Amino acid sequence: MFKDTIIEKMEHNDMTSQDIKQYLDDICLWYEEGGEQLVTDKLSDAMKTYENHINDILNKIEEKL
Amino acid sequence: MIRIKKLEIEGFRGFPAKCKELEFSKPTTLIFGDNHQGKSSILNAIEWCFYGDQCYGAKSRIRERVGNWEPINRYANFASVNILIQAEEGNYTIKRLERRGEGKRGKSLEITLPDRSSKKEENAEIELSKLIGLNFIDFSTTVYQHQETIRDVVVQKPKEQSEAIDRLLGLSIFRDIGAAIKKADIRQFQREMAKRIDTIQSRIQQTLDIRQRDLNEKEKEAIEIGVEKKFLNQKGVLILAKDLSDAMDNFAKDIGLIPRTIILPMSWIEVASFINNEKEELDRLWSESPEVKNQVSLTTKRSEGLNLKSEIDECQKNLVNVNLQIKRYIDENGSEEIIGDQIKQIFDKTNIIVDQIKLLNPKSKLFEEGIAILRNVGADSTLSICPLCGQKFPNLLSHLEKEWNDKITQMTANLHDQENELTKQKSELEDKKYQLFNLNKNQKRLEADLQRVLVKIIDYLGKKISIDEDLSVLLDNEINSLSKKLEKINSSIKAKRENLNQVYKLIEKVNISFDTIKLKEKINEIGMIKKSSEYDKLEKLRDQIAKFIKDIETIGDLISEVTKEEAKSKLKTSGDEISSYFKKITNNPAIERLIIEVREGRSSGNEYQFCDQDGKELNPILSLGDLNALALSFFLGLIKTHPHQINFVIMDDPSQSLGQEQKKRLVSVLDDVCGAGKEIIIATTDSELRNFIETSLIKSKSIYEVTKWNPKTGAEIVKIK
Repeated sequence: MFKDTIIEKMEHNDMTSQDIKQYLDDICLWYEEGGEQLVTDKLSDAMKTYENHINDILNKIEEKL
Repeated sequence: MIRIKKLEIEGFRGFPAKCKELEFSKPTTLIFGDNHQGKSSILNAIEWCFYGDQCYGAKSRIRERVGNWEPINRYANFASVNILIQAEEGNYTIKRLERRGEGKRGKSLEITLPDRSSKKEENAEIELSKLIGLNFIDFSTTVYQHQETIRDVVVQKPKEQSEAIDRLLGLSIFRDIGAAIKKADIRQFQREMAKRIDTIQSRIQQTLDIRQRDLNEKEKEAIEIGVEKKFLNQKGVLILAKDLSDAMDNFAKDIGLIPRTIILPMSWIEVASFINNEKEELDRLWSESPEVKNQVSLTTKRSEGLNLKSEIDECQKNLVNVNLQIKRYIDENGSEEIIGDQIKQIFDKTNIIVDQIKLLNPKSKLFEEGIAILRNVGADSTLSICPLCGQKFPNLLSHLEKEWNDKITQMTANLHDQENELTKQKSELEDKKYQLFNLNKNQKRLEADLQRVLVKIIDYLGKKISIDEDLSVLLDNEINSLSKKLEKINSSIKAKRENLNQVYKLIEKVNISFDTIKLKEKINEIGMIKKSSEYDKLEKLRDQIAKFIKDIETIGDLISEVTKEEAKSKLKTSGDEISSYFKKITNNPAIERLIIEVREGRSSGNEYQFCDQDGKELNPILSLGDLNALALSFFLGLIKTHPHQINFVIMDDPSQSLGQEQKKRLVSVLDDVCGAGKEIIIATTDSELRNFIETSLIKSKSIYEVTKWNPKTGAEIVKIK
């Protein structure tokens, strides 16, 4: 019901992003599996993954300096 | 529409054994009993049968079910709950079972459908989910009124109140997910990463500036040592390397040696190792050049000679000094023999004095004994005339005794003084003797040192020396001869050293040219970073993160918007009912109408403000009973106006803070809810509420009393009505 309501709102606002829908799916799944904490953890994990990618690249650039 | 018809519990929570079957055949079923008799266990059993593991732990969102809450009673080996459900299409039987210590394998669910067929486990869960039509969170807030819902509204803290009302409105998931997104603080991550990327970008520029400055300095240095600008490139450095190689060959020929083959660099990058090899080779050639070798050998030999010369001079000088000291000492104090004689004489004199002191003691004793005898014969009183001079003397004996004692004391003191004086003289002489001994010892050591140096000189000169030759002079001659040879060789080497320096200078030129190219290449490489695939990836990642954050924040914004809209929409349809129930339960004459305003919360979820018909804020004047009534009004008002396929409500201890009159009026509201076709299952410890239900509730009701609970058998359930 939650997801449907949000998607309905998106459509009402003419938002068609498939990415947002995918993230919404993920968030709903995480919530079902582990509640609020898992949603927070998964979002933080996603950012940490980006952070690790960025750090790898920054280290490579640093080596070139 | 579904309703519960029967409930069987065994081994669940407060019921270790099988308890009496409960029937829900009337619109209202009251379960009454004191605290800790198992009332809540009965209500929990319905929830557990419907939702299993979902109804406890952190994800249940029910505080009292986080931690040690478990379905199986501590004295039971399994928990089992059976529910008979009546639906429009027929009856369903749900049986949930969990065995202790068997993990997932010990958990089972079976549902029997109206056509008598049955489904188990996952299929049963799917069937049950369709039958109930509500997820656990919605069930636990909109069908089941938990005790803590009322406590949170009554607590009068705006945040907890708003959260409880959001949950009563069925907005738990909206609120939770909104809060989870905010808690993740992804924007902070982005800021942190942007900072790091900015830092590396400025580091790139700074490093580029530093390298460029280094290059300018290096080029200036190169020109100063005579490298033409045309050689400060990859081709130029190879030309300089070739020049260096030729110069090395010429230098080797000049000093009469054959150089090792060092391969010329094919590219500028090989120049570094070429320079090192050439440097090593140049050092080797120079050190192995015959003239240099000879020079080193002569220098070493001369240095050894000079050291020996210095040693012998030192030894001789010291010996002369000590001899002089000994002579002076003997002149002043006499030889060791003379001093020895003097000591002996003093020794003899001392012995004589010691003997004299020894003799004084018997004399003194004899005198004392004579005086004592005379005293004994009474001479002391009679003898008053001196027998020697005939003069009259009163107390003659005492006088004589004193005179004797004074004389003896004086004599002894004189002798001791003489003895001390002799002892002092003896000590002084012994010191002198010791000093002379040390001087002689030092003289012998220096003589031995001199002998050793002389042996070394003989060895150094490497020839036989006749006894009448002066070694010091021979050593001087040898050193002079070596100096002359060195002078000759040095002038020959000087010209070759100039050639050597020319080659070193060429090495320096190649080196500086190479360093210049290396810096240019580094600058080029740093300049290329911004065009590299890594940099491109970095930019893409930055964009991806920005998009990710924007998308997640959009979801967060949508949730906030929808949470507010949903609350408003529900309150629009239920507001009148909630207000009416609130007014009915509280009967507050000042409140004609309860108006609920919804605002977007500062953290997540909504914030609610309760006003009266004139828009005056009510929160400050609401009593605990009013707040309890407010929670119940929300719960019951929403149930009446937002029906779902579950046709019953569960209320656990709803009258916690209500006054007597409010309880009575609550019963009238319950009548109204029953009148709308809902069945009510209500558990309470409140005997007043029970009485009102028994006496005032118009709709028919069943009453169960739960009593005599003990840990091993559970409670006794008695159907009163």
